[in-house]
Amino acid sequence: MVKKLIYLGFIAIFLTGCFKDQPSLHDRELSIQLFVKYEEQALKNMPVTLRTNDYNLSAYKDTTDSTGMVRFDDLPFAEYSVDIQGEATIQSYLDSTALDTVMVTASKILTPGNNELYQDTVHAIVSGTSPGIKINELYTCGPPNKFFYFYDQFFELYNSSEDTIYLDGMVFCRMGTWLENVTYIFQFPGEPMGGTQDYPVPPDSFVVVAQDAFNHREEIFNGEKSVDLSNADFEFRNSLDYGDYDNPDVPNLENLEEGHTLDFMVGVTGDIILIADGSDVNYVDGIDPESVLDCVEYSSSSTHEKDIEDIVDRGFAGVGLIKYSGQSLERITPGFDTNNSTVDFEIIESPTPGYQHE
Amino acid sequence: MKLSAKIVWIFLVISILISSSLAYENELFSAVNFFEDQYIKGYKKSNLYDVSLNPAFFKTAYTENLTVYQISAQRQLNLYSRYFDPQSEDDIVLDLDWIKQLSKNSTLVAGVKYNRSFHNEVNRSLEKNYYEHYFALTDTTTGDIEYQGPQLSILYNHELADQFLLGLEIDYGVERGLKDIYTECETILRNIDMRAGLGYQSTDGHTYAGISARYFNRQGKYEAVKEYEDAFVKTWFGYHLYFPENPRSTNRKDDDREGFQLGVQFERKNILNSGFGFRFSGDLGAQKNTTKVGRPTFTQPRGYWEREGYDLTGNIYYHKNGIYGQLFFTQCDYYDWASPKTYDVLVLENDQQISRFGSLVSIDLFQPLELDAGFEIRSINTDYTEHVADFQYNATRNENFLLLGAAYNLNPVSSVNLKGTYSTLQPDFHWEGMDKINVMGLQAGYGRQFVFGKLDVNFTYQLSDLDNADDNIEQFGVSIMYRK
Repeated sequence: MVKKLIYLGFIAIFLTGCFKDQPSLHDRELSIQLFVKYEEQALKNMPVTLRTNDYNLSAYKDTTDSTGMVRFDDLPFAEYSVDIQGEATIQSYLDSTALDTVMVTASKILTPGNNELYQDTVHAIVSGTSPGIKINELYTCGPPNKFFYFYDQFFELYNSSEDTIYLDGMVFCRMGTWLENVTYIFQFPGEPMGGTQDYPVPPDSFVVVAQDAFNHREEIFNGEKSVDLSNADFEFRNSLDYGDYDNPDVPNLENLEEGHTLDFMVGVTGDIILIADGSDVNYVDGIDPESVLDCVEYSSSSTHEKDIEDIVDRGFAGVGLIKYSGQSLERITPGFDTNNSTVDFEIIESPTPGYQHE
Repeated sequence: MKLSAKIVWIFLVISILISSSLAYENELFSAVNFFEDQYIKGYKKSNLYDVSLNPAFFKTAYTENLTVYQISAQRQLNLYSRYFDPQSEDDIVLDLDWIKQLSKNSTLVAGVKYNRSFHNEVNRSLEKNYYEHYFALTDTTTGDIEYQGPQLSILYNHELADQFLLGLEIDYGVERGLKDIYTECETILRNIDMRAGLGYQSTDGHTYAGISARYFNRQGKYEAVKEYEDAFVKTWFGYHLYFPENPRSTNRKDDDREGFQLGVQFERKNILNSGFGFRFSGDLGAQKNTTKVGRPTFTQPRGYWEREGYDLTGNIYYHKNGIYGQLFFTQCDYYDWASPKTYDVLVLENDQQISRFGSLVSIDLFQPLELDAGFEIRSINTDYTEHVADFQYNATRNENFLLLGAAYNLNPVSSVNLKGTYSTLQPDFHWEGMDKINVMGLQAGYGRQFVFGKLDVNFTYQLSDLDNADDNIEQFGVSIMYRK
């Protein structure tokens, strides 16, 4: 006590204005209380996950109580993202006396102030995602190398439905900021919407779409790194790019954009990828949201500002993805899709073309 | 002359685990390290200036012109190293100092020092000493870091009237560090340390009293860049939690420090002509540190911390008839608190009390032989808490130091000396799983007086034997000093 008085006297006399007051609150005394609602209905027994990028801490998980409230205590003061997904029983739209069980989802960024208790309400929405063709893995960042090699990029698709789906005529896009900005558009062979059925994808199976379908591991890196894409199911091909490698044994996705002379190359640590059913190939006015089957935005930066519309992806994956590291982005389980790439994807240390990481 | 040299040696031993390259870290209560001042080393017995660093008392201790040129080199092999330590360190110091008595009333001191330090195979750390930073910066590579830069110092001491003394001292240093592989982190540190003091001396020259003030400021800039692969720059909050900085072409850290210190001093010499005397110095101080990290054009707060405390030093000494003995004690007590980013909360606290008691005796009765002996007992109480990581370390560590030394005058112009030290240290939580460190040191030297001045050559060897570890830490050093 005497010691404190000495310090205080010293600071009061000589250093007033130079130093800050010592905070009275200890860190890890933050409580976050969330009320989870669907429209005005409280959602009970709903799993809630809190994550922070401010520290290397694991996620905090809990479940809402009967009033739709969940409380997390003893948290460090930091910015959090809250993610909610689960089944909810809500009033039916068609019959007000009946109940429907639907998948709901919600996410929100929480920025507590300097108070011990932070309260907020999180509104969930029906997830709107249905089983089907999903972009299951994105390998974009390139293998470890010092000559900017990232031409071994590939995308893995997965059929999460119980039916066979045909890829004929579907389009694969690299997007700009919004759905109306199409940067690249390539199309699977065949006619869309059932016109032809030459490229089936059975339930629970993977399809690998390579930028260039050859063995990058052997031919570029002497077997040390990168990935063998010689057995890819499809490869991107731009006939206007005369140097673009074309594996004659692998069917091509052809460029649709007039005057576009590049292969399907995407940003190594940030971009937006979209697959649509092919009913809208008029890329000039963007892609019809109704035709979108799946869309994934990714960025290595935690402070990245979300670009693409929430209707196709409410988050973004890839925070912490390292350029030229050989890392890849894959859904946490095959086809897992809550329409929020922030929670759907995780970074894996090496790519897994055609299969799911363990 | 011998006393301060012993103290220097003891503190060199004490600071074995601290790199000799701390010269650029102007800490609060830096008096703990003031014994390392090169021109003082081996020159005279301890005095009120040594104890307090009040420049007003410089001329009461240094009454003659003096020129000292010294070059020293040291190699430390960290065969055992902590996670963020270098595998070895090489330090070269060139030190030039001049003391000039301008007149009966005025003394001017100037010093130029050039340091070059190589930290080899530093694992992850972008700090010179990771374990001394609450908000340290690391990456994911291992590389060599070279530090170099000059330090300038000037001291002016003036006797205003017969009994009043005025002193001003300014130290300025710049250091640049560069890591040899990516992230090729470049560090630039700029330090300024200013002291001003007023002193009173009685007409008989036996009583001294003074007050002093100190202001210091340190600015540090770090820039870690990437080439092809990101090297994951992290900012640590304490020693258990970190924030992964966003991958970007350049990560910039601004690490600024500012502090103040106020001191009082008193000395009474040769009480009743008995040869006994005592001196006392006390300081109160505070420092603040701000750490920001981000891109070069815009850095964001990562941490803020303050240190407040006091430092007391007392001596009782006897100097008569070829015997110089002293008892000394110090009590340094400080408290650190830190808050993270922009939140006004305590992320970590560190309450530390360091008590030291010891004695040094120098006997010059058996010419041509001089004998020295000393000991020190140190108690360090640390109460360190990281609130987010839920880490607490509360322990009292005891450390002991022994010194034995002898100097033999071969003839009127040349002498040899041999000194040995033995210490037992109890490391703190930074040395995980380590209970005790035994440190043995040896110094052998030869000195010869020439017409143009005196030359001294000294060789040192130090072995730190760590309990619970197969490897140890070795240190070799050599110094050549010219004195006139």
